[in-house]
Amino acid sequence: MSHPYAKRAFLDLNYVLAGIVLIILFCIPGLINDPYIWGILVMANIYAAFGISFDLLFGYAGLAVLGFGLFVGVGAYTAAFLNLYLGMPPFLTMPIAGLIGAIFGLLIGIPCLRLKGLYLALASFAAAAICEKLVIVFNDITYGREGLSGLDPISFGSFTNYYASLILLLVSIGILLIIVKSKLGLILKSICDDEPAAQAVGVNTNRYKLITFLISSFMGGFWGSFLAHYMMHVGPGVFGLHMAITIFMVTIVGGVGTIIGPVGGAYLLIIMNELLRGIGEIRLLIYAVITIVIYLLLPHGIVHPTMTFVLNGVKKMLNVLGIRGAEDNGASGDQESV
Amino acid sequence: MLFEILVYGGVASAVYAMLAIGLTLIVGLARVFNMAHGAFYMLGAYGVFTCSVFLELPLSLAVVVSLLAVALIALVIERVCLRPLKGSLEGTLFITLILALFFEEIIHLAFGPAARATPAFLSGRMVLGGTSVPAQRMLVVFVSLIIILGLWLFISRTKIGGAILSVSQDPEAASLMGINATRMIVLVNGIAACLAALSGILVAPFLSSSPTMWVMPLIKSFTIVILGGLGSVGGSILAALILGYSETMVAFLISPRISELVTLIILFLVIVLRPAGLMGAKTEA
Repeated sequence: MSHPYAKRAFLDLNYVLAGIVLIILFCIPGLINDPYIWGILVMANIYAAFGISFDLLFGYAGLAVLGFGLFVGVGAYTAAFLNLYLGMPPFLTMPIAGLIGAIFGLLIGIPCLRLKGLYLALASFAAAAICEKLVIVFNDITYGREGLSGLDPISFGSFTNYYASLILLLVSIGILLIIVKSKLGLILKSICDDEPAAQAVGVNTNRYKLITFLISSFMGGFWGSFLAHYMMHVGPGVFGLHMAITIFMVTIVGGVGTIIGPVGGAYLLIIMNELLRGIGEIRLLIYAVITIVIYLLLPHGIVHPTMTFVLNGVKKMLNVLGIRGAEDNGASGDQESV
Repeated sequence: MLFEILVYGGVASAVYAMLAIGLTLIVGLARVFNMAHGAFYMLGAYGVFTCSVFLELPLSLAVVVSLLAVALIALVIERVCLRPLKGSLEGTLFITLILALFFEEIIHLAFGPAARATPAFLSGRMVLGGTSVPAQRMLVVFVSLIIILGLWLFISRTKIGGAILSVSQDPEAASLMGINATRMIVLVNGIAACLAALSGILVAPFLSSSPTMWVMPLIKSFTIVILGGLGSVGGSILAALILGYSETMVAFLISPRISELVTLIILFLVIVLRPAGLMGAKTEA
């Protein structure tokens, strides 16, 4: 079994936990009255969205697309062009950016269909880097390295920005969870585990890989435009290696192939980044070391082990309180944590 | 113009060959795709900069010290990060990329984001067939030729070289013959890092050093490794020549602004059209 934590024990408690987290997220603007904190959480939401879109490609279909920044960048620049040159409002530019992102997903996906592993990683990264260089070369419309500024914001206020990002993230998570729990998710897992075997039982693996590319790049483009509108600025860095590594980090630290994992990973990394801000420039070093240590110690990510730990704790409490029904669940939970 | 392309293309090819040949060896030996390879290049350049400008060591000593330092770093990375991953592709990509970022941050903290110029080893210019070429660039070609020749002799003529080759052909059979595969991997890792560092050291005087200087060399060395065929040393040299000359021709004939695009387009096309490369067997990465 590739992801021991993917199969979860007591579903009921999971839903309770998810509900508690949701309530906390929705109440944060009421609990902490600080637009700065809200801004950090918006960034966490954006990276969470990148992470879950990447997770569909990487964690489910096993496609290590190192050039995921391509879709983000295409979306961001599409939004910037439409917004600055044609005056379109964000609610129009974002879906269009998603569509353009999906077109690029197809353009990259089709030639890369038979690639995997390092080759796919490098080919997609090369594609992203080509776009980055082109953006820098055609500087009369893209303003080169400085990038385009002055995009319309998502909304006029940190409060509404926060809720916009949160609700869109929840919708994205919902869509992806439905997808991975459907037949498509199963097929993707089978392609990831053993592609020839999947082909042998009659699965058109290319078709499903392309569908994955389409969905994932649509989301990448959509959220890329969200990022552009939120920052009110877009520069060639969105295509680059740093963006790709950050998305990679968010996904791996959170937990590959879980959809929920990258959300936790994004929150953890963005909040850690902020907490370390006090100690000055050296924080990025510490950040990198912590990420490596997390990866070497918890190769399945941090979210599901934590959830199992919390749920085991809750179960023990329930047992102490003598609540019936918790016992059976607990047994399976124990087995899983071994 | 023609002669300039010939000379500058040769210089670029020499740098790329030296940069990539170590990576080719380690890929052929252990199928380890070390994304920190570009970082070794950067560390070499900054190592000499530190030793010669801040510590005021003589240049030859500075080169030796920084090569040893980079080799040490590479061996620590091999022991602490690469070996526990046991060739897991995603794990290696992820960890080595983060390590590269880690070194970028260290350099950024220590030297700031601005580009730094390293003093040249050889000042002055040489006149070659009507064009005057900075002597430092000719030194690169010279050193690179010697290194490649030496490496070839080392691999084809010495016992250790034979052991390296046998491990890359069949690790299991090699270990049955009493060859310690791990030790060979450690050795080749050290050599690869040293060669990357040496190319960084040699080009630092004419391409200034900056904290993000590791990215393009990394991509170029992977382009060469794949274009040449995984693990094929001859293929890598050919690929380095192709890359060096096509870049130089684009830079001279069209515009230097798009010369970096050449590598990326070659990389994309090779992977999509002929993933086995020029001289490689058909293998899956």
